[in-house]
Amino acid sequence: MANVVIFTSTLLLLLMPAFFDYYIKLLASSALALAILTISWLHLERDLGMASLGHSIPFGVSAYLFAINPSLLFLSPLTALLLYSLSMLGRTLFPFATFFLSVTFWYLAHHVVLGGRGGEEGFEAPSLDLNLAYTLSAVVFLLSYLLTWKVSNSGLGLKVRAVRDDEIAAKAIGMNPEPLKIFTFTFSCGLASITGVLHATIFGHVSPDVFSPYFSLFPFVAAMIGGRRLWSCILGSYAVVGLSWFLSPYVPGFHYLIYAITIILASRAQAYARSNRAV
Amino acid sequence: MTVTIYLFPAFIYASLALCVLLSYRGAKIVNLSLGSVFTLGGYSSMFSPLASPAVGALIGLLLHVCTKGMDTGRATLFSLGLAIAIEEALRISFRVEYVLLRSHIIHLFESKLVLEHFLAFLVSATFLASFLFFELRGSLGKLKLRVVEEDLEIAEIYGIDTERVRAIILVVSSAITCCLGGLYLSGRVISPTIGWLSLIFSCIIATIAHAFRDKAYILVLPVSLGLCWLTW
Amino acid sequence: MLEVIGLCKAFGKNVVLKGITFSLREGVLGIYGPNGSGKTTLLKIISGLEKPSHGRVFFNGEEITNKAPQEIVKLGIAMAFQIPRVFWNLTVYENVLLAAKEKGYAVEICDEFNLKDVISKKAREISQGKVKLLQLAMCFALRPKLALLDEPFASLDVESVRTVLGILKERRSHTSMIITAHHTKLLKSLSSYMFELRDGKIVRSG
Repeated sequence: MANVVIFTSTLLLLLMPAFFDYYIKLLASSALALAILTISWLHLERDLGMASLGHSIPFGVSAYLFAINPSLLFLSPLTALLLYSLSMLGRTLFPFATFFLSVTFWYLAHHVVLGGRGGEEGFEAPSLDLNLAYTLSAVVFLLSYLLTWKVSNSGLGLKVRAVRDDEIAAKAIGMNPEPLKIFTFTFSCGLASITGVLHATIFGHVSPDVFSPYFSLFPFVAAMIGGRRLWSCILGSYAVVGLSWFLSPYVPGFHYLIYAITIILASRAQAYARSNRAV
Repeated sequence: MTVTIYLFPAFIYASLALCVLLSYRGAKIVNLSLGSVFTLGGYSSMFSPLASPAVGALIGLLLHVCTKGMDTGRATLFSLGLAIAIEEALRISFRVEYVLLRSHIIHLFESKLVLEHFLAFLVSATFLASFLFFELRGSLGKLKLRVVEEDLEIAEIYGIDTERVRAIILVVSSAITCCLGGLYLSGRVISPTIGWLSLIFSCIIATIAHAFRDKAYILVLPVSLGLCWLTW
Repeated sequence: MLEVIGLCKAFGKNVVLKGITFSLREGVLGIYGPNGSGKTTLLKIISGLEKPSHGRVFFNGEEITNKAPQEIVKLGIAMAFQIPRVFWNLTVYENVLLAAKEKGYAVEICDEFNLKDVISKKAREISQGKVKLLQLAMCFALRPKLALLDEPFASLDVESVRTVLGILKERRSHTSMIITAHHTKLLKSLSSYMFELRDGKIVRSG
């Protein structure tokens, strides 16, 4: 029964915006892209135990590379190595270090100027027709969800969770933790990079705000509101985008207050349960 | 004059960083509301100079009560919601984007200083010195804090009132932050979001200090001085 | 099979092992001694989890002194810790499967070590005695040529001690073991050879 509800609600969220106007479709496309970012963050946090507050880095770097010159996208996997190197600081320091780095990127992005373009205003990016962008976001979201679920439930996912629980015990049964960690970071940052490209194509523009704390904290907030389950990343993402952007023309001046109250209530919800299972 | 330009903010950011560090290590929460509390201090000071620490203490108590028993993730999420709620409440209440806070000028050592900024420096210096004394003295209180940081369960088994420790940390850190906001934001044009940059800078200082584990509390000020010197 | 030559280990100024030399061709070697005598450190060095300050370790003619623990496991040495190191958020079955790498074999091992009744429970939900059995199950699931068992009987009730003893007696015919314990009584019923470790030195052997 639960699976039917999950499937139906996900399908509704994917299909419904297609029948609405430009503004709804734009927000839905963005919410879907950011849902992929949330999935990538949740995979890293839940399976490897690394809560990144710097997922705006792979997101923003790939968006910038795509806007400047799409052929430069081959450089985006370097962000995975960057975040992996920060993981050596340990689990407690990792979130702060990633946040620190994302703020640094935010600052540096204001100074990226090429041929008179960029700086605070950012770069124009190749964009798609909104209907196409929306369809692409939906398809990529579904594929990302299925792929992440598959990886998480595979033998590889089991090994990654073992490393999360006890690295020394993992070594004691013959596992080498480092390749597993590198794989998880690469997979997570890869999905985040795809989100960056999608975001650029949807809005047709990239500015230093892609590295802002809003995008750094977005996957954390969306995942927590959604209940830290893979399937509910879409719910959490729609909730955050809906409350922070959608409501603004309808309740101007109050939409962020409603957003704040939702976050407070979500943190206190009794039915909110941590789950280590991929659903 | 150059010294005061970077010395005053260094002490104030060191105090904020210490509050961030204490909240994370002792109260198990990444207190994202401290930026908004800092801003709230500025707005509260318009009514009364004593309003800021009182308001800050109340916010800290609210945070403690509402996040009791929560894990770090949920408590951090709550603090983020609280931060945005404070910001929006200020925006809705004051209905203007920017507010200019009054200040008083004094003459000290042949320089013109903003009295409130000097007071903020004194408050933060006192706070840092008191905590340093507490840290180096090796008292029972320090041991309790260490044990709470290490393992809550074991702390409770050995009779430490962890809820009380948590409440003290959150109330004191919010009160100090609000008080510093009330003083340091004087003479400036403020807006509801002005506290975020201060929070981010303090988090950076806290992150660097935290890397030194046991010496983190002692190194907060040197790290702040170093970063302020680099950036000013 | 195993040759340990002149092994020394110091943690700062604290010298834990002082020139340990012994060899094991096959069978079960029992090491006993008081707390702090260096038993656990010795096993950790052989398994690669600690590096010695001086000395060398050879396994089947190959030097393993500076090899990583996961490489040593591949050579055929597995360790069961005194304080169990298992994956607390995974089920008993998942824990054993990670070591066994085959589903059928994992189920067999769970059956052999009396874990069938808790097979689908998470490691953090089972009793300490069962966790100890799980630790041993994981060690033997690796199909080691040499199993290093650090205080396998510690924290077990009488029934569980009998179970473990039975399993080890059955397995000793095809797996060599080094077993550490505080007391000699249990070791005597299992071991082909024994020595006492005291203050980091071998003081008595036989």
